Amino acid sequence: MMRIALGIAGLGMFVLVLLAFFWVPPAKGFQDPGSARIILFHVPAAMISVFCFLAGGFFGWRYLRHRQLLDDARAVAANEVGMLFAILTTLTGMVFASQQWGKPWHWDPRQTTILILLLIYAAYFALRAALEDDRQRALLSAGYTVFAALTVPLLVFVLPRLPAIAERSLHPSNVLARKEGLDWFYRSGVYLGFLTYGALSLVLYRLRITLAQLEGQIHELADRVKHEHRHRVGWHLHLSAVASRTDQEAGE
Amino acid sequence: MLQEWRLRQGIISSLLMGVVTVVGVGFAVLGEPLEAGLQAGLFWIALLFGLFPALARGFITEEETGTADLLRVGARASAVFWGKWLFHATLYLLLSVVLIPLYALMITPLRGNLLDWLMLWILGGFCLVSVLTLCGALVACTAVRGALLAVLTFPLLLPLLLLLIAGTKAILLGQNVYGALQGVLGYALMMSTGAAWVFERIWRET
Repeated sequence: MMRIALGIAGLGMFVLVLLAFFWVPPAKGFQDPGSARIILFHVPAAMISVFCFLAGGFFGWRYLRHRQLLDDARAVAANEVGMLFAILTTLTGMVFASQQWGKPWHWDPRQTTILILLLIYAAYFALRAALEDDRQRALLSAGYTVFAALTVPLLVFVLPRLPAIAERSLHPSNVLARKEGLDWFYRSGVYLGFLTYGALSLVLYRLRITLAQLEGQIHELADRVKHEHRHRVGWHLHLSAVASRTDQEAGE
Repeated sequence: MLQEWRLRQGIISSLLMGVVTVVGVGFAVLGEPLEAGLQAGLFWIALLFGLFPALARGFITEEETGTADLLRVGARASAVFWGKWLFHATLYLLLSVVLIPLYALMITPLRGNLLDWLMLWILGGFCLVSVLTLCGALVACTAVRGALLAVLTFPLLLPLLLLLIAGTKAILLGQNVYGALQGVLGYALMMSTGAAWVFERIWRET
């Protein structure tokens, strides 16, 4: 399963780069038509990050219901992958903005909302880092990630479309939902992007889960070794005390 | 509410903090006429920073004074959450009564439809209080609670701040404010329901 996903991700990325540079034509209606090709990377990354954040919220909710540490590991893995793709979305968006609108950051509603999303999830990792105890860390961060996931649909789908906020946006809107939004070249490229990034996110997610399980095993082993060592040291101390008492008695 | 009155020194210092924030913004503006968007932004930033230190103190003070365990044993989680929520909402009312007139007096007079202002203030406060109450409970048992509270709460409040600023700008310009009000209402309902649900599941074990 992992090998297939890795194969799809590798091959898909290679084909995606070829499509972006040699197959997809420059888009009409843009100041720099060639740079619109970046949507083959930008839109799938945005959608995958949203999916991962929602999955993180789902696993947080599961942890609050069942108290299984594996669900906490799943929530962390999903949020970490989501964060990675959100950063990728922000960077590709900034490249596009600098080409189209003259500077990389415009405080466009879309840029602002993804920045807020990055801050919310950075706070999630800060909360985890501040807690020592495994159970308490899992509990509080699960609570926060459920709360954070509630903001995701609002920040991505609702807020940038509200008339009071959308009026100052330069960002193209609803390109996937509208039939005339993307032509066949772009649409097939974006769908291939979904497949590639989906497979890549699955690989990263599985790797992160495996890493968390290994970390858990190492902690367990370390605890056991510490416990056994303490037991053995205690035994030696006990023996040496008995020996010294015997020596003393023999001396007397 | 009577129990919370024991923290009145905290309330007074929060009030002073709010006054200092509004005066600080006043120093930055120095009576210059402000464009509607900037005025709306400054209004909510002054109010939020003025209210912020007070509104999440409830649970942190319980942990600091060691009374949180008593609450865990003696009261239902929902009663604790809504009790703290009510206390924070009262503080919001109290501080707003002082800070909003002060802002209007020192920085710039507030124009527009009074009913729209009232709706925006009520819904904004509802959401603000819910987010701060939950985040206060989340950070109360951590070692770096002060810094962490700001780190957790501000990003969650930024969408609300965006909506409130858009709504206030619309009021100041005499435009239709209902789009922004719908957004604030939706966010407030979502955050309050989410906060109450999450709190019930984490409170006993924190």
